[in-house]
Amino acid sequence: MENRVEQLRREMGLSQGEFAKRIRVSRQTVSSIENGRYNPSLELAFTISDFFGKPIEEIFLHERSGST
Amino acid sequence: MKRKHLITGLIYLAFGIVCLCIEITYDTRLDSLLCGLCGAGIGGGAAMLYKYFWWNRPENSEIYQEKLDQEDIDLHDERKEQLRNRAGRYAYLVGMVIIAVSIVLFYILDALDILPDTGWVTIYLYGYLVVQYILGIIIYRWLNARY
Repeated sequence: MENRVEQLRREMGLSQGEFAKRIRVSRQTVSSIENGRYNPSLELAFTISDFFGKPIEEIFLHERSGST
Repeated sequence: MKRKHLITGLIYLAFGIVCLCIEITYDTRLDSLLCGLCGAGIGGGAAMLYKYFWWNRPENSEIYQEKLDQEDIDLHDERKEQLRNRAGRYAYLVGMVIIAVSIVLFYILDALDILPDTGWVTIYLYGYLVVQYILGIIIYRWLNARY
């Protein structure tokens, strides 16, 4: 899943390690999230959303399937 | 570090010394086991005591707190928890294969008289394989019902 975590983190002037410490996860998890290799749980997604002060949908870009 | 780490280290050390004394004093068939326990006790206990006194030095307290904090983060990190669980599953599957192969191997070696009288090993491994398989199913069903 594409996301804007790296962009928002850089805008705040934080390194991956500093950001990881602030949201209480490992630096490797932050790296995996930013590279799209790992999708965070709902709880962690809300934590990240609260940290940046933006809605989840603005941070994690989910492509909805067109099936009806 | 907490005082309990000091006490644990002392207990390990004392246990190792007791094993050493028994090993030196008596001549038993368990000498190898006693030597191993002695090494583990004295070595492990000494390491724990060294760590206790090292991390309790005032100049190391801040580094120790950061270390504890990072350990706490790594322990509860969701991605690492998932990876640990996945690693456990893979190790479980590989272990099952190794046991199954070992059962056949020991049976063949016993039948060809290369390693005679190891039928009990085959039976033990087979029993262990069955118990592990059934235990996996039981634990899965328990977790499935609970969560």
